[in-house]
Amino acid sequence: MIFLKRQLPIIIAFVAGIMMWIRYYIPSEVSTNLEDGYLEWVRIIVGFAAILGILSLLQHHMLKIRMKRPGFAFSYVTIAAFALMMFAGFAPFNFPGFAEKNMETGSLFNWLYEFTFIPMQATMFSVLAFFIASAAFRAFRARSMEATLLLVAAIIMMVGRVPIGDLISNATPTFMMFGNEYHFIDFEEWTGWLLNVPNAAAKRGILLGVYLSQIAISIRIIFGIERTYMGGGD
Amino acid sequence: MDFVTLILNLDRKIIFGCVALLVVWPLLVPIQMPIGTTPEVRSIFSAIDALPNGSDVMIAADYDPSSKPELQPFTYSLLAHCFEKDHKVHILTLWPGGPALIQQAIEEVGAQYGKSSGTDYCFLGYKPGNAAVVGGLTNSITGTYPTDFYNRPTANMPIYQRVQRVKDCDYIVDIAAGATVEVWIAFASAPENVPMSAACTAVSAAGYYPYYQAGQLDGISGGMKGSAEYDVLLMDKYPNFKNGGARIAGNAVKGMDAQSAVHLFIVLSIILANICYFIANKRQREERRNA
Repeated sequence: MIFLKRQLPIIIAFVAGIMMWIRYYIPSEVSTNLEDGYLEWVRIIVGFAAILGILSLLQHHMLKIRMKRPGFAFSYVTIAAFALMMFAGFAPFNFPGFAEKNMETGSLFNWLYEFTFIPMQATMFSVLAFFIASAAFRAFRARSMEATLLLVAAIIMMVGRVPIGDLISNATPTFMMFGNEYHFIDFEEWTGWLLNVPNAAAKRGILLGVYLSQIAISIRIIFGIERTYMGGGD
Repeated sequence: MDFVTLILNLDRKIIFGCVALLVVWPLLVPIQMPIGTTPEVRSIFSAIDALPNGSDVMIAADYDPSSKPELQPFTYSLLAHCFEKDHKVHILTLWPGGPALIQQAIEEVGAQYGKSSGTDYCFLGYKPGNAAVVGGLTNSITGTYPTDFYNRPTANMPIYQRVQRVKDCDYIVDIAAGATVEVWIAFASAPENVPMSAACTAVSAAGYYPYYQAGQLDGISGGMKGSAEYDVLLMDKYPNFKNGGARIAGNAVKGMDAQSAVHLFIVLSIILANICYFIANKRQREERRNA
C-alpha cells in the first residue's frame, strides 16, 4: 500500500516529467505521437474534475440542508437550479414552447442561459462598480509618499483611459519642444508612459520571478523532493 | 455639521445613487464623446486588416457573462472584421461559461455576412484543460476537437481540408477574462511562430505589457475602451458599419459615455475627500496645539 501511495506517484511524476521535457528538445514523429497521447490523457483527467466538482457541490449543499445551517434555504435553490440546467441540457426532446433541444439556439437551456445566467453574473459584477466608488471615496487617502504616488497614478489611469481624458487633454494649451507640439495635460501620453515604463518593468520582474519559481518547483516535483501534491506535508 | 465633516461622513448610499445616475443617464441620453485610439488597439486592427483575404484566424473567446460588457463587443467587431475580409474563423473557448455567448456572436455575425458553418467558420466549442487543449491544437485541430459545438465531425469540413493545426493559421487572437493569454503565447503562438494579439478586461490589461513590448503580442485591447476603439477603427475604415448596415459594431461605443462619467465622478470624489481629509487633519492639529 505504501508503494501505491508513495513510490508509484513519484515514479509517474518522474517518468512523465522527464519524457515531456526531453520531447520538447527532440522533436520527432515518435515524440509528437507521445505528446499527443499524453495531452489526450490530460484532457480526459481534467474532464473528471467536472464530476468531482459536481459531487463536491452536491455534498456541500446536502450537508448544509441536513444540518440546517444558516442560509440553508439557498442550498435548495442551488440544487434545484443545477438539476434544472442539467436536465435542460441533456433532455433528448423539445420542451413545450421551445423549438430546439439540448444547447441549440432556441432551446430551454439556451433561454435559461441568456435570461437568467447572463443577467445574474452581469449583476454580480456590476455591483463592484458601486463598492469600488464607495471604497475609493472612503479609503483612498494621500497618507504617505507611496499612497500619494498610487493615488496620482490611479487618477491619471482612470481619466486617461476614457474619452473624457482626451477631451480634457485637447482643451489644454499647447507648447513647442524639440519641434513637436505637446499639450500641458496629455492623459494619453501619461497613461502610455505609466503602462509601458513603470508597470511593464515591475510586471516583467514579477513574471521572471514567478517563472523561475515554477521551473524550480517542477524540478523538485520531477525528482520527488516536493511531495505536497500527494496530500502529505513532507 | 460643517461641509468637511459632512463629506467625510457621507452616507455611502448617496455615492451609490450618484454612480447609478451617472451610469443610467448617459445610456438614456448619449453624449457621444469622440473616442481616440491607442497604438495597442491600432496594432490589432492593422494586423487583421493586413492579412490577405481568406486567411485563417484562430479566435479564443475565453470569458463568461461576467465580462460580457467588456469583451463581447470586441468579439462581435473582430468577427465582423474577419468576415468583411473573408477570413476563415476558427473559434473556441477554454471557459465553461463561454460557449453560449460565442454561439450568439458567431451565429449572428455569420448570418449577417451569409457565412456558413464548416466552410467559412467553425465553432469548436469548449474543452477543459487549458494548456492541454492549446498544446493539442498545435498537433491537430480535428484530433483535439473531433466534433464541433453542434456535434458535427470536423475532419470532413471544408475549412479543415487546408488547415490541420495552429501552425497553419495566420493569426491568433485571445479574448480573455483570465490568464489564458500566457497559455496561448507559451503553447501556440511562440513555439509555432504564429502572430498573436490579446483583448482582455481592463483590470488585466496592464499585466500583458511585457509580452507586448517583447513583440509576443502585436497589440492589446483593454476592457470596454479597447473594444470601443476597435469599433471606431472599423467604422472609419468600412463605411458599412458607420451607416448601420452591420448592426454589430458600436456596442462598446455606447458604453463609453457612462464609463467616462463614472470615472470622472470617482476621481472628483477622491480629490474632494482628500481635500476634506487634510482640512480635518489641520484642524485637529490646531486644536491639539491650542489645548
